[in-house]
Amino acid sequence: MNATKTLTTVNQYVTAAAQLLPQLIALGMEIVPLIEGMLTVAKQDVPTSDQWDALDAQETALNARINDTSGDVAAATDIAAGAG
Amino acid sequence: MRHRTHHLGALALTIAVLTSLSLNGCGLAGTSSNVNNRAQTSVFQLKSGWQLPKAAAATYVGLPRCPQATAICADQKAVDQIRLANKAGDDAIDAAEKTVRTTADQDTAQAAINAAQSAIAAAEKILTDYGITWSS
Repeated sequence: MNATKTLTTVNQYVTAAAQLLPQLIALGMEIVPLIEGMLTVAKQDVPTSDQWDALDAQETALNARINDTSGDVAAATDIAAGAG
Repeated sequence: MRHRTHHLGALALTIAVLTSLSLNGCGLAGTSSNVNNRAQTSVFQLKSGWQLPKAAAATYVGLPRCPQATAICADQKAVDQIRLANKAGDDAIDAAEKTVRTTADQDTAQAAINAAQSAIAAAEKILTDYGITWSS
């Protein structure tokens, strides 16, 4: 019984890790240009307008993901309040 | 809080960034042109560094909401707080960017940088409290 439970738990983590892998790869691809930009500007006298624009675009893209409410669910307290 | 940490702990994202890019203790001194250039560079680096926790936060928010059959999921209340922290950080750094790109006054620029650093630190604290971690 314990062995079965352990295997189930291990399987859950393996499945979860597999689901997370594409997101981690995407995260790495986002970070590399950021670091490149930081290193480039560190060598310059001042950031160019294009570099500011690229950074602003990065910020906008991340905000689109952070503020994407398509996966949201009602919080437990909200559900309870609605039910009451 | 413990159950949130459990879910979020599974997403302990560690992002290595060169410590030499740290802006802590960065001061402005010199001619007005140099001061302005350095202020812009400081804010640019600060804003670039802020994108790292934002990227980790975006990855977390993209997870399916708890409870899930899988071990990794995102707590809705944590997502709500992360969004507030993200907005607070953005507002501060965007204000600093606007200031250093339009002023040559050393004190004004330094004040904007200080305010942005404090706001970013506060926002990052909220993210780490919810288990989103990175290194810089």
